[in-house]
Amino acid sequence: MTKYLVKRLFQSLIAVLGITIVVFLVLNIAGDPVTLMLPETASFEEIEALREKLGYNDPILIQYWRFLSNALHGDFGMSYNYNRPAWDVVAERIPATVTLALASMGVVLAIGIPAGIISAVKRNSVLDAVIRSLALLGQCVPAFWMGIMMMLLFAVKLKVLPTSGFASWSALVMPACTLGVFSAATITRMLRSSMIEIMSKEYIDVAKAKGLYGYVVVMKHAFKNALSSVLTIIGLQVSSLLGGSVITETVFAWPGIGRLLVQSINNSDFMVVELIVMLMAVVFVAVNFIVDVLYCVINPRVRLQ
Amino acid sequence: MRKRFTATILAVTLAAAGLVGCGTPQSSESTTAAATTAAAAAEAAEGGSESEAAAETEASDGEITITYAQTSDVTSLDPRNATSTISAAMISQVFSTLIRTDADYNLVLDAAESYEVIDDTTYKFTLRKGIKFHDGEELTSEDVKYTLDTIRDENATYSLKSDFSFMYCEPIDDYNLYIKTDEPNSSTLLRLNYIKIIPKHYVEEVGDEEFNLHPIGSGPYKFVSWDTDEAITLEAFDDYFGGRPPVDRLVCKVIPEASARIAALEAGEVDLIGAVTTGQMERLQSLDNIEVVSRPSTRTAYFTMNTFGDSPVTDVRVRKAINMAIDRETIVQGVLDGYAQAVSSLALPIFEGFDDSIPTYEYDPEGAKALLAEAGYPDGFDIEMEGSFSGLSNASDVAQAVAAQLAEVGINVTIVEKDSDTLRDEYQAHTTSPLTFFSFGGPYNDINLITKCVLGTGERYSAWSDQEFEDLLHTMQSTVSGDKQAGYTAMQQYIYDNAPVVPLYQTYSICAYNKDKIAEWNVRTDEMLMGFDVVPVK
Amino acid sequence: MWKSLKESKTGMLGVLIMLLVFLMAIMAQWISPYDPAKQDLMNKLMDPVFAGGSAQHLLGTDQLGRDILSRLIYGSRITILVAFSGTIFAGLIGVTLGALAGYYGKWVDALIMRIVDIQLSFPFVLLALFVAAVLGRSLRNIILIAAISGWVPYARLIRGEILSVREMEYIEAIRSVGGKNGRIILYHIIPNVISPVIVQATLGMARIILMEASLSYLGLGVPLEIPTWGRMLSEGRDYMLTNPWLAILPGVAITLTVLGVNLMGDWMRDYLDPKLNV
Repeated sequence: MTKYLVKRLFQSLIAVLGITIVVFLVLNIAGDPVTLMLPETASFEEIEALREKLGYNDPILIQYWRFLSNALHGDFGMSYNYNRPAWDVVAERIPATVTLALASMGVVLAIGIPAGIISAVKRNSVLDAVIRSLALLGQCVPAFWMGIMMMLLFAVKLKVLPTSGFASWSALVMPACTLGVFSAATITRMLRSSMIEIMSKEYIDVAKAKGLYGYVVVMKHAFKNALSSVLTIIGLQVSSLLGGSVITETVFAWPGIGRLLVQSINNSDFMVVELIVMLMAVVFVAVNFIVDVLYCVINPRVRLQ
Repeated sequence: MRKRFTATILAVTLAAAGLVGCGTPQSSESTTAAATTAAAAAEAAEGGSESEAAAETEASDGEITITYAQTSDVTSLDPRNATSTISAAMISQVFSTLIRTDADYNLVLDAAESYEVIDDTTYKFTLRKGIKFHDGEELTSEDVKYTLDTIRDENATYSLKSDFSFMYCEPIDDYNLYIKTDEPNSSTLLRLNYIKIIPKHYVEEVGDEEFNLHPIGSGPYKFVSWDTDEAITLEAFDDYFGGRPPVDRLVCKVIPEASARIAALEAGEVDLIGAVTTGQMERLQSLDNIEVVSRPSTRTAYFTMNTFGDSPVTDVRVRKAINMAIDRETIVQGVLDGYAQAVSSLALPIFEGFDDSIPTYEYDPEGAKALLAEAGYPDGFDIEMEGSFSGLSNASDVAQAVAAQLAEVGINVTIVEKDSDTLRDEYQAHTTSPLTFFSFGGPYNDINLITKCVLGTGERYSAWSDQEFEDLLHTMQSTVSGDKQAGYTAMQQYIYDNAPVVPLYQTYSICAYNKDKIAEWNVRTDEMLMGFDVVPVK
Repeated sequence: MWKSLKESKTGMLGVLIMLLVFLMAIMAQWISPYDPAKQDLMNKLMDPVFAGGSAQHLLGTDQLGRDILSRLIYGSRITILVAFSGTIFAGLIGVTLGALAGYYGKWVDALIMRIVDIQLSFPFVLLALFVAAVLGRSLRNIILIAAISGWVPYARLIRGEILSVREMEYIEAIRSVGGKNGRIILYHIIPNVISPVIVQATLGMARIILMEASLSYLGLGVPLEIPTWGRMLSEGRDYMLTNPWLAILPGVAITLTVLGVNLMGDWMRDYLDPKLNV
């Protein structure tokens, strides 16, 4: 198992390195931030001079190496838009994004797991039909549209929730639901199918034959076995939450890194973009690594290839 | 109308401009800034659902808080890096300048008590005595010199550098100083409005980075806190030289979505909003407690025509035809609901030197067709139009409406949306589309600036190059005294004759406020949204 | 197949929705009441007929006085075009890379799986913003984004299937009589995995439709004069308070279409791949 984990860790590191290369290359093709650093009225000569001075005319390999070695020393460069270290600009927005991600993960689990279990246990009941329809719908609605509709209803018409911002718990409700709806729907559906699949297996029948009460059987055996698939999905949902946070934060003016990312791309604030992308990638790779480890622990027989 | 803005520099006493001395002088609760900020911000946000709660808080400690909403966060609180209008507006409340523009775009004295023009490159300013920075130190000539010196510093890269490094300061004594320019520049006084005086002692002590996060100025409001992408809080400065402002606390929130801003205003989360889109006007005007106010700004929306390629617009007849094929009035009324002023000149009536005797291109589709036929395009042609439509409200609608009008005279337009950085790169490489939608404005826009940036050779938003134009530009810029109008008029006539650009309309700044909280407030011409001149309801 | 469809009410519903959208896309110029680009500034922002508007414009008009029904009908073309071509390209890339990885194994596999890792750690919005910034905004690039961000599931699927059939006896037998690798993959392995690929494609299509909508919302969509549901929705945002139908109607169109695709996908999974059926 150790050998497998070491190998897995190594693969993760390669992935992260690959991401830095891709990000760096693409941003370099896209242009450089020099125009942004000067006022709107600067002339082309001034722009060219600054470009030379800051090393944007150097060969790309040299630029990449400089970028990487600085990053390893904790120096992620300056944000041109804010005239401050990129790390500071990003770091002060991390709590908002983490809050939102945790809240929506809470929504996902609080809705997804019970709904999935109930739906599987009460298979083919009315309740099951309702849950299945809602889950299906949750996968079909564009999340940002739902966010706008919620804003229209709860903030504008009913005036029970604030429209945007990040200062009170009530402000968290709409963004968390918007961000979580797709994942919650996905988990409900997946959990339902995997539980039904497992419940139809023989060992469940054996357990039932031994006289255990129905719910205990369901919880202990079926859920435990279904958990490994849910874990994998949760790992994947982290990516969808991180990506989704970009749109959700834009809709709700949530002061997190997702919105910062969109702004920074629009402003060509490259150091910030690089940092956020790497950060998201590292989080994603790390979460999936942890999921793999847990997977091994829960289900030692099924080692991943 | 002509010369409305001209050198009518009113020696206005400061009490005038917005800070009318009716301020209810409350003893400001001695609140330790940092600690209360979070609580205040939380209150303000929660107030969305319970605006009564906020009102109660006010009543209890008698503090007046005005919350207003901007479309995006400031990028810097160091005035030397404040190129965005939003940053500049925030900073204008914290810092003072030698001379500033009032809500009507007139120049008025600020930290200076008087000034005189010595010669074409020298102005002598006398500072008011006893102006205090927020830390209690006095503002002197040395601070002015320090501000301009650092902007001009060759090794520094402050954003203000390229537009403002033509000036420098020579102190005479603590209160008297010369502002000198490398060359005669007729925009000097207007540009000075953008130079906020920073405290030398403080910046040198804490460094630029710390200064940016905790700025100290000598303006009506003290900086309290900056929660990035969310809100900035300011507090009235007791020792402000113009008198303590009537509002104790200003909170500026960031709400990018137009609809969300309106909703926040209606819900009482904020008291004042800017960048109202015309589509929302009807609804807002129907609400009893909301006042909608608008006025023309310094911003012009226009199309540049790329004359470097081999497209039809290299022919002056085609350029004129396009100018004549566009029904600006219909666009203003139909698309913008009348909240814009149709113009066919880059020079706006509010600018010094605007000459209304210069002819303009009137809507004349038949004439346009005739000109196109003369230029060899009797059946019209296909052409590409591009633009970045996110920055200006209704911009994509305007572009589509213009495309429909051009189609009427046989010019079939394909619209491509680009981001503004891509457009800048294209301008530099001379590869913009034949028609490029853009807008230009801001707190120090004048005829010199807009004609230079939009049409000057090698300038950033220019797709034109012409030596005669450059000569006219130079004459106009360097005439500080004497017959300034001759230069301005010649320039406007030349642009009309050569039609290198399609001016469309002067934009309006549209704002709305809550009448329950704000008794009086005026929209500013220079697009800056500020709360410092709010007259609160008692 | 028809029998199975008749038995599945939801599957039938999905197929019907998709047929409707298809017909709209194909017959747009005959069935739409107006030219979708025709502006009428005098009659702008009219409400739909069921909300008190005039019967002249059944679903009302937008901020430039264009007929919303006509724009919705024409908008289906882009939705269908992007969804299908994006899925086909994603499938081609995924199947090819997955087949290479699974069949050749060793370093080819390792390399492709690392690319998969990198791809998966990249939020698609970011990818989309990149592509738009570097290559500009066009229909072609939207399809490109759909393909690049959607190929991984196919690759994993194919790779997994190949790993399990590679060692099967009949493949060995073909190889022993001198079958070429390319032929083996194309004629003997792909047919074996085609069912799960089709199921995946249907589900992937739903994802692409939602993606196109969010890209248009972020302002990265297709050129202005082409009506798309995503753009209509994002333009309607500014009129949410006064004319909410501008944003509601295209949202409903998107949701219904995605629902149709998903229902069809579920049914196809049941039909084509009974072992997945639970």
